[in-house]
Amino acid sequence: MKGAGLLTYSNRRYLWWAILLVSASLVLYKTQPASALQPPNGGTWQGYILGTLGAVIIVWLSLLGIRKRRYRSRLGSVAGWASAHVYLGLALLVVATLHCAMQFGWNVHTLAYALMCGVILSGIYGLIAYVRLPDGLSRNAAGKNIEDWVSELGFIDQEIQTLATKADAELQTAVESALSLTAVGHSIWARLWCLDRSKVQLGARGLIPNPEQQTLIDHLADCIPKARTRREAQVLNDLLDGFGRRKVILARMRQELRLRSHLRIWLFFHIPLTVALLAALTVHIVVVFLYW
Amino acid sequence: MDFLVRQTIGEAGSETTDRVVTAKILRLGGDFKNDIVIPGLDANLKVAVSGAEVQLRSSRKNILVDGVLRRRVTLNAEQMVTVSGLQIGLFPAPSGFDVGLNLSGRVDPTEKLMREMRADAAPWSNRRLSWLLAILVLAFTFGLPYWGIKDQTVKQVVAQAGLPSDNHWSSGPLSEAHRAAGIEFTCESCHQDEFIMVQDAPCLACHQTIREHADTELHAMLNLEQIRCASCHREHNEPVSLNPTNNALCVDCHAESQSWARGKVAHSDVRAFAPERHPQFKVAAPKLIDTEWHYERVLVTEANGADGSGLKFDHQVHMNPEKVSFDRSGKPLVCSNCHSLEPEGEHFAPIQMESHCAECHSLAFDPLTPDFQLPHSRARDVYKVLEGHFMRQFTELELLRDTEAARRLPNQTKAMLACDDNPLVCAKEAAAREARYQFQDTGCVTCHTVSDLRGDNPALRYQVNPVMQQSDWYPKAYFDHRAHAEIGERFGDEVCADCHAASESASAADVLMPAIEGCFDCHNAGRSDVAVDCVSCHWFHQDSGPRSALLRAENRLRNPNADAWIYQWLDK
Repeated sequence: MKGAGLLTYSNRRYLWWAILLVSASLVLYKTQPASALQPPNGGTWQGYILGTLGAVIIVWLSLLGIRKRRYRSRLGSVAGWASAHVYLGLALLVVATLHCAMQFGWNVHTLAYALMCGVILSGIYGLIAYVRLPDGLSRNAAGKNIEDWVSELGFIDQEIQTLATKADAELQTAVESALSLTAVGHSIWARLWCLDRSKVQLGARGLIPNPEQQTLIDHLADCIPKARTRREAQVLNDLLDGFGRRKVILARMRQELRLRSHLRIWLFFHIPLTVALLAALTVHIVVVFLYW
Repeated sequence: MDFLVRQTIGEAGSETTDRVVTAKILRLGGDFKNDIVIPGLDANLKVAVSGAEVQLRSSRKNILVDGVLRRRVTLNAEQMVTVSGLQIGLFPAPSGFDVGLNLSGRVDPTEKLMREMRADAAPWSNRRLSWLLAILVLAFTFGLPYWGIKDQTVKQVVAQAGLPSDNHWSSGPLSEAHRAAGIEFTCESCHQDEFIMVQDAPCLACHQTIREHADTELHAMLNLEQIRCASCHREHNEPVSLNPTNNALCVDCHAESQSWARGKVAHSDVRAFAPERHPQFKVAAPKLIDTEWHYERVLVTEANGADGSGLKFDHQVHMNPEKVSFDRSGKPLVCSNCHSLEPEGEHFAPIQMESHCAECHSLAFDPLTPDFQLPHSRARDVYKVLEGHFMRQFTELELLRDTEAARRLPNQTKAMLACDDNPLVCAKEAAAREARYQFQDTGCVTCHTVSDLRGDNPALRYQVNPVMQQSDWYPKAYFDHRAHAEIGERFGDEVCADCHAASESASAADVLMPAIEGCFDCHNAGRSDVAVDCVSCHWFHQDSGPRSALLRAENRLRNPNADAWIYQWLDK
């Protein structure tokens, strides 16, 4: 549980901060009379306090991006900041919801809220990824560096290419095409969901999908009984062995890509949405007072 | 352009294949859309002839020449270049061909896989998307709407294009009354100054007849005219109504009214609508003093006999079916036969002699002329009509005297002829006799109080006292009869009688208005009954006194900085 430190840092100190913050916000919200001159919303004094609190938290949470780059900073440890970032970020959802009193509309204020929800949801996804995926990464690499696996694949491919020159032209074409048309992460979608768009040029069957190299493996297995010479059978057998090993390594590569993509992709939403949120938050505050 | 592409394949370059391509530019690459498909090649290559030179261009910087990676090279016969393990060179083109292209070697498939492994999981850098989103947010939620405020043309273009405008800065929907043309989508109709709270001028531009809550001179210390309209009437504030209904608005001051009224006004303390927390009702009883009507506020519990309407009426008799009923149908009277509710739901139309009384109470007076009625008018007019009537009667009778026809006259007429004087004197005597009868015994005096001035002139002797039908007994409160017309399965007179004890009243001086205790049966803040707020029955802005529009405009003229604290604050 590599990422668990995020949650357990300093005996869950920031969890208690967040619980305190949420409780105080709820008490503050409840002090707004239900059916009075003024319904609970951002316009009451309680609403102003909750709004200010929310804005300060948003700005502070955004500063993590700066703090983690300031290696010489003595303003708390990055681990502490990250832990507080997680808990206060979750608490922010409650603070902001109480600030707006669940009143939504087709306006800039709700846009800021929606962006904030987007940031928090992507953050929750990121938290889950950080807690759960690193274990999967090291299990998948099985004690080796993933680059080692790729270079091993290179050796296997060279072996296969050399073997293929001993086969007939049709099989040679099939093997070469299977090698060159192997895909591990040709698109973002494929990387995220382990999609295998590999293909193979298989004689009369033309260019057909070759997921997990299985189409070619099946073809090689079919060819072995039909081999006319011992040498031919041996070549087919060796090719079958090569593609079997290739299949395993490719699966590891795809898994590696999948896990790394999931660890990365949430930031692609989390950070730009945060910047958009800061812009929308500024507009929200300015226009509320511009049209007071 | 004709290209001859010669590719060496097989073990140790054992085989070659030739292919002919006729194109302006020869395309090579991993995709099948290329002229020459090189499986696994992770770039798109183009070969084109430029003058005497043959150029090779790649979509990536991956052409290896002399140990240097390039994007574009000029091919020659002496030297091969390498792209991902594929060697490319020229050979002398046979006749009929423009270019002879030599391909050999294999593309290393792991190179492409390694590149896929190293590719970023996101299509763009975080920073690029951040900038894009931030600029979009700022431009569409602030820049464009703000430009629209400054330039009406922009605003129109933005509105027509359906782009966000300052309407999207609204923190909530307007109240129904304000969803009107010129207000709803025109923010600046109320928000006139940037960063300044909405002032009174836009409110009072429409609400010109609204008046302050209280006499501003009497309560000068409250500075009522300096309290912004919008501090109570808050817009964009759903689900709360634009008109505040919370009792605290009233009770804050009226619970201990003497602390601020200081004896200047006779307010009773009000804490809630509940026994002992709201004072007993006071009726406004009409009373004629000299020739002016005055309205005396009398506790409703002590108000019997206080109705100085100048009328006589016995509800008890009229509501007794054994004594009064309609001639034709035989049905008894019901309340609504006489009392018809005005459209506003609170008051009743005044009782009219002609429409409500005359069906039973005819103003005919002479049995000889049963169709001829007295006018429902002033006493002197009545006398003149009597005089004229009897003159005509006596003149006509005089002509009949001592004729055969006279013997056939009814006895009553014969009695009239007993007057031996001339017809004029006889008629005046008869008119005076009838006037005495109408104004003293029965007739007009049945319903009206009449003053007998005892002068010599019979036309001026009687005077019917002025009448005032009070229709607004509780002028400081509002009551909706429509909302109370049906209670459970009961309706009509049965419900009227719940509050108005008319069937027990024998005198028009009785005030038949209900006391507060009757209301408490259903409305009691101490129990969870049908809720009433202060403003359910009372209104905040008064119906007399200076209009707010004038008062506040004057106040601004006198003190232009009255609401300029915000400017001072901003200047600091």
